[in-house]
Amino acid sequence: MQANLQQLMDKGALWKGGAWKNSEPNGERNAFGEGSAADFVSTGQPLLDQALGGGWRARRVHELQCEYVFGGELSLLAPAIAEAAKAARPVFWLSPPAIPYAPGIAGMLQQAKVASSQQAQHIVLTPANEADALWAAETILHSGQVGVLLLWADSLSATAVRRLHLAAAETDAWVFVLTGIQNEEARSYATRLRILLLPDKAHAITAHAPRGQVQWQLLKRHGGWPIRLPRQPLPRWPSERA
Amino acid sequence: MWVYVRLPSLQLDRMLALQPELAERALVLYCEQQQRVMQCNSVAANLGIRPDSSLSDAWLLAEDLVPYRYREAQQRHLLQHLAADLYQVFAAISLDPPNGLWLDLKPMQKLYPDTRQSENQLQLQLTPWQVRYHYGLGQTPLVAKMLAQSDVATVGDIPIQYLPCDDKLQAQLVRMGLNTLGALQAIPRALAGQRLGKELVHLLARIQGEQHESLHYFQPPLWFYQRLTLLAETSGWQALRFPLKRLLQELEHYLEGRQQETRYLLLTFYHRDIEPTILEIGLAHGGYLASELATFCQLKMESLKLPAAVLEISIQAKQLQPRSKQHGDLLQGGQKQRKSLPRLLNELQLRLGHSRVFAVQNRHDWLPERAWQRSAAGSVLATTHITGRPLWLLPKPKPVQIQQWCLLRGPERYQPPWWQLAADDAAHFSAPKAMQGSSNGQSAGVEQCSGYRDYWVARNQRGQPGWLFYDYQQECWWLHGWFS
Repeated sequence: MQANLQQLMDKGALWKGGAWKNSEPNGERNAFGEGSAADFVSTGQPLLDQALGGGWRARRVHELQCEYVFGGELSLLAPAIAEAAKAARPVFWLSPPAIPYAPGIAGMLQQAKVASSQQAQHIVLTPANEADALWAAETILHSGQVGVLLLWADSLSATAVRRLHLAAAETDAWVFVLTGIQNEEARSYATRLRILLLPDKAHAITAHAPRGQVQWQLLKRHGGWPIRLPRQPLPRWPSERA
Repeated sequence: MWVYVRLPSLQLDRMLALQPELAERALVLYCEQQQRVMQCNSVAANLGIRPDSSLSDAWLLAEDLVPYRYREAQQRHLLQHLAADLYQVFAAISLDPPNGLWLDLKPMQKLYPDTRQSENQLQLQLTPWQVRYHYGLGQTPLVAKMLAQSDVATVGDIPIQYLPCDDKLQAQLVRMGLNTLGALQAIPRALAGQRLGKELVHLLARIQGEQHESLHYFQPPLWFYQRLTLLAETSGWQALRFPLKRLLQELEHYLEGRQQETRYLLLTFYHRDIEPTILEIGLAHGGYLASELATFCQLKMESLKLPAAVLEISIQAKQLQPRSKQHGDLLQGGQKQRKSLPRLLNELQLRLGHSRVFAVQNRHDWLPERAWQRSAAGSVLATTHITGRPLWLLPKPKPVQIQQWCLLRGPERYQPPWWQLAADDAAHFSAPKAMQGSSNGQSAGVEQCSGYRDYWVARNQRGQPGWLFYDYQQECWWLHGWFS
């Protein structure tokens, strides 16, 4: 049993809650064995990166529960999308809530200094129902031809998440599931992030609070207990003019 | 030098090759009108059934006879298909339907100086077809054909009944005691002409090669077609998978020989009385591997219901094109790629529908809803010179109450160019269409497009950054995108 446990810990599937906080993220990654710097991509938010132990981990399924869509959730994924473009691997948008706007994406990539000669492929899929969407997600992951997979879904069954998890483990991709607020029933996500938007009371005085505020709740994370992060200004898609 | 290849039972042999289960029983192909056996397999031949014997005799000789209808069109088709295969090795082919073809070895002399090499090539090329054949090698097409038909070693020994002339002349020759071609040739030509007429002189001249033969040379077809009769009537997709696989393997062999790939497959399932079921498979990216194409077919088959039992299947592959290069980086990729991206996209498009899988692309236009476009999935996102655009664009702008928003940055004015202002019939212009569905009832489509717009970055009460515009024509605010 002990050997089995050790095996799981080596894989990074199991970890000690206390050990995480005492050490540097770098040292911790080595302790997990397979983890390397290439496995992680930043969220673009230092606070969140720290809480996640370096950022989003490849080969895992991360859940983002958004109270409202367009609440800054994609900004957290922009570095991953840029990373996929650098590696010339396609980004799949599975049933997105609106049209991913090509000039906006290209603007972000140019700002992230991804050379234009590199191949950024963005493929949008609008399946008719969720069963098709899940089939597509699995097919895409099994093919291995994917850099980032973004899946919008209302709520996924435990089996569906499990299947995604297994399929994701075979790839080098970052897999994100974007849903509404879910109950805390167990699911095999590596990370469960809840994004809450806080009503902006100082709405009238624009100069005072130029941005909205957001609170990130990590319901589940790799290498740590659930945590509620302090309020942050709402992040934006990094394609704006300076 | 000419080679004549005779394929006495081409259609039957191909049936056996595709359905090896039939080999153990006496199988004949019969002509429906004359009720005569046209082709038979070795089991039937051992029982004494010969081509040209009547079907009733065949039934008497073999009680477990498996008779199938002989199809002239299919025979012609097969012969063409075979010629297309031989075309890879021999340049000058001429068809002699129903069951033979000529090969001219002269153009190939540089490549195969020895005729034996040509024969080897021919045998190699015909082996995968699993058909019985005889061939004859002669100085003229006619001699080669007669040698192949008679199966004798030398020209002189060819029996006179293989001479392509009418029965009357043949009977005359036999009565004169000329039983072989050698005997006929021994007689002086002028004498033979006097006794037997001009026709024979012409014929002899053709045999000698003194007269030019006008043969139509074969041109390879531009598509692939094959038809298969099923052993038993089948009504489920599952049972159809195996015969289909064989057909696809034939297709792969065909495409492999040409270094081509197909983008369009047409499967036809023939039923007894009703119209055949047709399954079209269009591929965004070409494919040629049988296993790959089988997956595509299966994806498509799942969504289709068969109205009745299937008797036959045919497959047609069109839009053949040279294979596109698989450009992969040896150093970067490859380690975890189990499927190529074009193949993945094909599968997704077949299952989800063509319009549901697309790529987004920049477009050179200032109008925001026209600054992007759908493009073929797999295309690479180009760079843009427009900055400060949001990530999300709403398919239709949404009317908003400006009191709930706080303007942050702007305005950025969109002014329609003069030719759009001037155009009266701007109805085809995409902007009004996108907005007509919106809840705001004042639909004056033509004016909408020509309106000036001021774009603003604004924030709603929850702090979400949106992209608003003020339409001067309608004097109201619209939400057009999100920055987060």
